[in-house]
Amino acid sequence: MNTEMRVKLGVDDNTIIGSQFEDLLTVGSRIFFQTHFYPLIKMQNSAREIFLSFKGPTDSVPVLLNVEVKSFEKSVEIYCGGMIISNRNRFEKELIEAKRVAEETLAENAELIAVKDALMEHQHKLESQFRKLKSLKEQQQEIFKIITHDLQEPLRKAVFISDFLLSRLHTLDAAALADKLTRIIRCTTQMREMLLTLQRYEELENMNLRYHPIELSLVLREAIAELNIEDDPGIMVTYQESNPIFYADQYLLTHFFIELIRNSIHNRDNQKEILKIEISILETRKNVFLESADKYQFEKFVKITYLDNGEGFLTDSSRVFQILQRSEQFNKISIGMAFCKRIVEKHLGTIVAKSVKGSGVGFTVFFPTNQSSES
Amino acid sequence: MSQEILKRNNVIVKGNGQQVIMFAHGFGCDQNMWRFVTPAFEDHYKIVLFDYVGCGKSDVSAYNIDRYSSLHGYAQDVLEICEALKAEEIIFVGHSVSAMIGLLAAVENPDIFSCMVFIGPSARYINDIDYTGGFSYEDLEGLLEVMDNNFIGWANFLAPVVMKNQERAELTEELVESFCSTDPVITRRFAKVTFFSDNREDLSNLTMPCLILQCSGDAIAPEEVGLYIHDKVKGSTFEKMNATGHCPHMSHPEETIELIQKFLNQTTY
Repeated sequence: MNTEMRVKLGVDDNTIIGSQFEDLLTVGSRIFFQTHFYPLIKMQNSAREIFLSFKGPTDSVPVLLNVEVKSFEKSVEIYCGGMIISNRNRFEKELIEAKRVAEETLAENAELIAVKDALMEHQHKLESQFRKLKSLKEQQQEIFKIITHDLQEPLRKAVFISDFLLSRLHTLDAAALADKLTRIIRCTTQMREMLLTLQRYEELENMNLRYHPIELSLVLREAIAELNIEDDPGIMVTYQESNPIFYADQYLLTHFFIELIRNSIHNRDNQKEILKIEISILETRKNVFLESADKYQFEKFVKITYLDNGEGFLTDSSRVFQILQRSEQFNKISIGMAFCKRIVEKHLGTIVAKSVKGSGVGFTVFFPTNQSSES
Repeated sequence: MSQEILKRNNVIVKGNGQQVIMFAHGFGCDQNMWRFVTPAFEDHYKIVLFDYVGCGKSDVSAYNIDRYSSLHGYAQDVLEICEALKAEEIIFVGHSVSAMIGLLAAVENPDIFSCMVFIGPSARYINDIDYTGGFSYEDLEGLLEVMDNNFIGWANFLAPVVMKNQERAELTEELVESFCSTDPVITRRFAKVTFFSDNREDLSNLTMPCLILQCSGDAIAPEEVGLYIHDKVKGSTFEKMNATGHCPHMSHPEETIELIQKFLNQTTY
C-alpha cells in the first residue's frame, strides 16, 4: 500500500501488514466485496471501475478501484489501483437521492396506492370466484354423472322388476312376491341414500363459516371422542400438544378430522396390529393465488400433514374426493372425502391426497392462518 | 410448460449418475460460481445447475415483482425446476441466501428432497433481541448505497424501471460480464429480499438430514449464526471449515467437496 493511501486511511505499516483487504472496508462494502467483488476476481482475474467505501479516520473514503491478478508458478500477486472520488461521489449521491425521492413519491402517491389496493381487492375477489367456479363445475359434472348413471341403475332395476311383477301377478306365490318387492325397496333405498347424500352436500354448500381461534390438539381430541376410539388399543392417533393458532370454523374442522379418521379406519390394513395415524401442523407462507396466473402474495398458512399406515387408496388419487366413491374399498354412499374437500375449499385452503411410498394414505392440507372465506 | 421453466431459469443438467444433486447460487452471482466444485460430482451424480430469475442468463422478462419480493417466490423457482425435471430424492446444495430458499422449498414439499447442504447460511442478517445476525439496519443501508454507486453507470438504473430490456441486449451482455447479474434493479431488489429476510421460525420445520458448512471469519454469516441454525434444525451436522470468507466453494473448493462427500457418504436417506 502506498503512502498516499495509508495517509488517507490513517493506518501505518505495522497495523496494515497481515490484515485482510476486506478489513479496510465499511460494513456495506464488505458485503459487496464478498458477494460481488470476490467472485468476479476469482472468475475473471480482473475487475474494472468497482466502487468501494474504505474506512477512513473520520469518514468513509469512496474509491473507484481496478484490480488485476497475476498468477506465477508458485504464487499469486494482486495489483490494486484506485482513485478517491469524493467529488464525483457527491454528485452521484445527489443523482441517487433524486432517483430515490422520485421513486418514493411514486410509491407514496396516495391515488396510486388507493388504485393498487382496489386492484388487489378485486384480484382476491376474482381468485375466489375462479375457485368457486372451478369447484361448482366439478360438482356439476359429478351430480350430472350421478343423475345419468348412478341413479339410473337402481331406477332401471326397479322398473324392470315392477314390470315383471305386473306381468306375472297371478302366477306368483306370496314368498316370490315378497322377494321381488324387497328388491324394489332395496333399489329405492339406494336411490334415497344417494339423494340424501346430495342433500347433505347441499347443506354444507350453503353453510356460513363461523370463525374461532383453533388449537389443533383440542379439535383432534374432540374428533377422537366423537368417534369413540380413545380406548381402542388398535388405533393410535399421535399429534403435538402445543400448536400454532389459526382461524377456522371449529364445528366443520372437527367434522373434517372425523371424516379423515373414519376413512383411515375403513381402509385399515388388517395385516397390521395397530392403525397408526400421525397428524402434524406447522406455520408457513404460501401464495394465496392459485387460479390467477402470475399473481403472487405470500401469506401465512398452516400446513397440516395427515399420515396413516393403512392400505392406501388403490384408485387414482385425484378421484379420492369425488362425491360418490365407486371403488370397492369405499363405502358407496360415504361422501366423507368430498365433504373434507368442500370444508377446506370453503376456508380458501387446499387439500392434496396421495398414497405414500410403502403404505398408507397421506393428506397435505393448507388453511389460511387468518379468516378468509369464499363468500 | 416444463421446457419453458428450464429455459427461464437457464437450467443445465450434466453428469453420469442417477442421484440428483442440485446446486443453487447465492446473492450476487450465478451458477458459474459452482464450476470449481461440480467436476468432483460429475461421475456419480446428475448435476442440476440453474440461475434464479433475474440472475445470470435467466429470462429477465419472467421477473415478477410480487413473486420475487419474498424468498418464497425464489423457492417456487426451485420447486418448479424440480417438477419440470421430475426429479426426486434431490440433494440440495445452497450457498448463502439459497440455503434459506432451499429450506422453504423443502418445508413446502419435503417429499422430493433427500437432504440439504447449507454453505454459509444465515436465518436473519440483522441483529435482534437475543440474536446476533452480524449487521445493523445502517450496515445494510450501506450495502445498498455501495450497490447504487456501482450500478449508477447503467442507463436503466436511473431511468424509469423497465424490467424487460430485451431491446438493450448489448447492455445486458456487458452486465453479465461485470457482475454476474443481468439487471441492477433486480439485483438491488434481491439484496433487499435477502438481507431483510427473517427465517428463524422456519428452521425447526426442516425434517431431513442437513449439513451446515461454516467458514472461519465469514463477515456475512458469522459463526454464531451457523451455530444458531445448527441448534434449531433438528439432527443437523455442523462443520467448521478452515476456509475463510463467504465463498468456500470458490476459494477452497477441495475442502468444500470433501466435506459434502463425507456428509453424503455418512447420511442414509
